[in-house]
Amino acid sequence: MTNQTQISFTTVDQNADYIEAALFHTNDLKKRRISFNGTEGILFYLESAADTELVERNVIAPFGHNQDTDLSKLFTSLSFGMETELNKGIQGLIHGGCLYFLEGMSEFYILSTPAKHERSISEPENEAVIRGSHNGFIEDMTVNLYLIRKQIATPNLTVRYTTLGKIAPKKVALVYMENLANPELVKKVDSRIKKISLDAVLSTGFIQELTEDNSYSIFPQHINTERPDHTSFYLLKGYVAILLDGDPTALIVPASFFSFYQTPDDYSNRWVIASFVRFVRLIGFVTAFQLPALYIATVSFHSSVLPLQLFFTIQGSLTRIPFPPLVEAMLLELIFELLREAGLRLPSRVGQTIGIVGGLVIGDAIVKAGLVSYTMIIVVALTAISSFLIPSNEMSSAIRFMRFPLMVAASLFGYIGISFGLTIIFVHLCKLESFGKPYLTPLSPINIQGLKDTFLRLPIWTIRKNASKSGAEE
Amino acid sequence: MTQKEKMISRGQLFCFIIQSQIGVGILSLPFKLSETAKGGGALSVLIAGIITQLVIILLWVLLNKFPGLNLFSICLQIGGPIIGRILIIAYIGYFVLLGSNVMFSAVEVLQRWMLQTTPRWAILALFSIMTLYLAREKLTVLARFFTLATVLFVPLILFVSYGLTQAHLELMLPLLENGFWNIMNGVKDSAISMYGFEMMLIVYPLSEGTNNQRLMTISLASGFVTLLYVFVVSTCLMVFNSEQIKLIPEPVIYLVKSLNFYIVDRADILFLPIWAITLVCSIVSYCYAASIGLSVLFKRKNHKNFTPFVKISTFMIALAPVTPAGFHLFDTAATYASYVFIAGLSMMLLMVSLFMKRKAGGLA
Repeated sequence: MTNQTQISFTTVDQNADYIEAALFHTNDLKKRRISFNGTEGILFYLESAADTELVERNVIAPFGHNQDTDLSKLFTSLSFGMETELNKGIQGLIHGGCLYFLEGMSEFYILSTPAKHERSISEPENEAVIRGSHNGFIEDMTVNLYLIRKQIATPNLTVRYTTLGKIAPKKVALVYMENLANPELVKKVDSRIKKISLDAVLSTGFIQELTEDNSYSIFPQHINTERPDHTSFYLLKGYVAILLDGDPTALIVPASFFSFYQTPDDYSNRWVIASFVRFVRLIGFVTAFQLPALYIATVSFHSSVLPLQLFFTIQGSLTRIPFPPLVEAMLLELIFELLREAGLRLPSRVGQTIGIVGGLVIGDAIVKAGLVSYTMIIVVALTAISSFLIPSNEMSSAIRFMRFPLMVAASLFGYIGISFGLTIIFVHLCKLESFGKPYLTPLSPINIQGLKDTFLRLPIWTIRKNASKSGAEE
Repeated sequence: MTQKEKMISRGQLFCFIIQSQIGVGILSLPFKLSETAKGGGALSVLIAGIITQLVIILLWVLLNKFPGLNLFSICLQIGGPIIGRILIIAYIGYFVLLGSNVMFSAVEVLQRWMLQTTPRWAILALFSIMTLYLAREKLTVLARFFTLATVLFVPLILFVSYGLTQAHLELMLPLLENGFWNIMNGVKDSAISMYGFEMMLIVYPLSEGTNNQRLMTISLASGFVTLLYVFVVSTCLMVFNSEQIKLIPEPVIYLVKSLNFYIVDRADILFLPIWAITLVCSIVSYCYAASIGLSVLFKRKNHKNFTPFVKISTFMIALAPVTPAGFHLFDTAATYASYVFIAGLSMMLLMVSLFMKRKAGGLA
């Protein structure tokens, strides 16, 4: 029965039995007996995959009034094909098609009638922009490709399909600009995707983890976005995008550290303002993972660094606290992580309650109870806000995670501990590569052209001149 | 690892040489020079820089005789399997010794200024783990990190420059206060802080550019270091008078300490952690060199597995001296080893290679 190339039988009932058996008599398989010019025929479709209204209107209804014409002429409003292999027919059924068997005919018809239940194209919530296009990817790959094609209308935009998943196959598309992307990069991405051997690929997260250069790193090595304009921006710089059917996220490679600090908004702002915003984000990056460590090291080892007045102020708030600074910081950081995680999956109305309970009640009570000092509250709050400045959620999590080991290092060795911790992190970043491209480009190895669009966002005419070169061609 | 290691660019070569050269030496250099050369300290550094340039050219000639080979492969080429291996082992020993000397002095300084109560082995272990993590990587990764670390010179130079606000030019004059010979004596002291340029023996074949371009890059790097030293030494000599400086073994740190930046009272505590990163770079380059030596010795393509051994031995050696006499002996040993290995042995190799060339030419 599981013969891979079962040729269709000549009698309708034999075919019907085979199809029903192959689908294990699933209840959503619909069977209609419709005769054509007196010959017996059977129509099959899956009501869960096919558009029943379309089937009713364009497949079944024509039988009623055009009995004497050629059968092929009945279905002119649909795309259809003739097939002899039953298993191909079953594949067609699963993807929303109809099968029509006619008694005595060796071939059968496959009609394409897939149901389309799509979310409408809307702006992705976690990547909202102030100015610029407000559409986002949805769960249907063809629509997503359409959105990209609409941004880049050129024959150079190339799409390559692969199917992944042994048990539940899914389509994966590789999108790139034929004339801009480095062919070696495309080959590398393609071969890594083809090496994936999984039973099912549920989300782009699977592809991400299986194509990374270093899966033990805490840093993301793919840019992921739900924005077509962001994707097109990278495609035009010679990057490669990976789309998965059923997932609204596009993975873009190769990623570099600084690409996680850029937003599409940077390019719709005036360049001086955009550069300033980038600078603010850089400060956010530094404070997000260093501030608690610096504070711990300063108050526990190097209080002589502080000017006398400041020292007295901080010391005053510290004297009543029963814990060493590290415990104090860990406690607050953990409370913050708890609140963040709790607020993440709650509906927004309950989320406000979390904010009040967490921020106001706990924050105020914990100081009044004498468990944590006011300065520590300021430090942790600043850190939290800074970590939200990072546009990419993945990078933001990585940075938040990094401050814990740094805090421990600071409480053991003071400033030296911090500088050693930073060294280890930066050595790791130097070591990291994303699809063969050093993670810290354009900072190290230095690329002046790339630096124009890294810490600052210089005017577009200075950046875009060498757009094709600055991309993935390292 | 692929068959062919990626080359480093000329900018990276520049940063690599700078980072290997600048070490702990400079922190105490003004103190040592004030003992010998007095006001002429800056002149001593300048002369040492020029001598360094000459040695660089000689090493360059040696490297050009054997294109594409590093020091260890050259040893094998010249000395044959037995003498060559002895030479390689000697050089590995030298790199290990210097690496542990830098690490030792770094820990000394850090202990004196910041981590008074932390046990020495703990700081040494910290240095060892960190340098191990970097030294086992490919040269490209090292070069990338060294390039990043070069950015740190900006705050360091700014810190020292701030000292110029308290400088008095007359403290440095007269330049020839202690006479010409004492200045030459100072050259000997300054030369010790110049070490690190011998890394060119290892990285030269792995860097891009024509022979002349690479020589230019290395000379520029060494020139930059010389000028930086001249700047630091003269700043210190201008800020402290000769009586003060006798009491301060690390005048550079003391200079930074006396500065006040409104929100930071003791800048030396910020200065040292940043400085520690450039020290890490020096130690890493010595460890890398020694591990490469071992990989040539055992004919392995990858140096990764040898680095832990190198690291353990540097850790042990740096832990060994416990008395001040031991410290001194250790320093002296490192100094003389440098003379022997950089100047002596390299010159010998150059001579032999010239002789061999002639012989080969005669036969052909």
